[in-house]
Amino acid sequence: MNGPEQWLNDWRKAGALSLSRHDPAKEGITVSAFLPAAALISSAEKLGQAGYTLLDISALEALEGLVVTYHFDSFKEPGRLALRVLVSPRKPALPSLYSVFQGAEWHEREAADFFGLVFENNPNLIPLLLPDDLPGPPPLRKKNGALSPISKLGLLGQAEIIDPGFGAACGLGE
Amino acid sequence: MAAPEKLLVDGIRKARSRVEPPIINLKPVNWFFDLNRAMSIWPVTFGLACCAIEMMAVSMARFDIARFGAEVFRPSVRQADLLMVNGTVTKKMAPAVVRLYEQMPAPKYVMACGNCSISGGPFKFEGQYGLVEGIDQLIPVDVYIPGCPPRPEAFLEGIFKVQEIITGRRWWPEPKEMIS
Ligand code: SF4
Repeated sequence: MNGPEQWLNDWRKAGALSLSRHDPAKEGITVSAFLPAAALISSAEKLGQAGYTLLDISALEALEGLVVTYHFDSFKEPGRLALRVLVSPRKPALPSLYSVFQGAEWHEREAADFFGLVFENNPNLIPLLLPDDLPGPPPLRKKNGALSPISKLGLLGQAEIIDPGFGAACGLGE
Repeated sequence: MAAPEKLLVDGIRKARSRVEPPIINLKPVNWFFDLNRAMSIWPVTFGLACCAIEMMAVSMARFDIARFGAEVFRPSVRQADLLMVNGTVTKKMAPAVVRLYEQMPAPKYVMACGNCSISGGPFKFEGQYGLVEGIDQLIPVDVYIPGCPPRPEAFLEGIFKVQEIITGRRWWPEPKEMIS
């Protein structure tokens, strides 16, 4: 059994860029972390071994790039967790979680539809909800000027910034 | 070579088939057949969004579309003569709607039910990416039933209107007390 604090420790060891504690009554999640893309699969594997399932994959375009959020929940422990990855909007590539949670394939296809994300090793990355030949850029990518910085999006809760570079990029000090 | 077809909605082509006039037009015979057709319209079981719930309501006991002969909802367009486009037509669905229309044997009629299929309805806004704003850009529409969703009575009025288009007259009394 892993409580939220142990997950935070785990993610710290995995090289998290920042860790956050949230008020579950208000925000719906207990803890979350920004991870480097390389640590995503191993962290998801650990969650999978502890009985967690992938709830959804959502994306959001912020000033610093695309924030991709993976929500996890478990039937055994209370509290949802979130893993977040920041990817560059110019080259939005991420590893696929298909090898850990098979159902991730659909969530990834949906995120790819609307945000143009590329999930490497997803076996079937074709549009899920949108037509194959929809012209134009991915529809939920914002026009410039409408973007907010991550610090204003309410994603960070009570945050502990580990990677100073990440903190500086998001306009947050130590 | 024919000029390339103009596509009104991104990449989705219009229906190609049209309803031709009858080859042999014996007026009294056709009138007899048309009357029978009008009193036994077979619609397609076809729902795209919330408006389809009203189509279900109108086919149930309270509003009872069977009183006007149109209760035989067909699961295949090949057996139907009325296509009710109920609800939101997405760009992904639109080619299928066009194909369904083309598969229907003539004489065939189309009702655009609800604001969504008439014009995009509540989802018509600047920057929307997923919808066809008006199914009449792709297939010919005979009757428009506005509403979000239309009341079941409006569906019945739509059926009356189709009957009027087929036979040239209205067959049922006007609900006068509702006009005032
Ligand atoms: S017109 Fe209104 S009720 Fe009908 S499908 Fe559109 S949103 Fe739903």
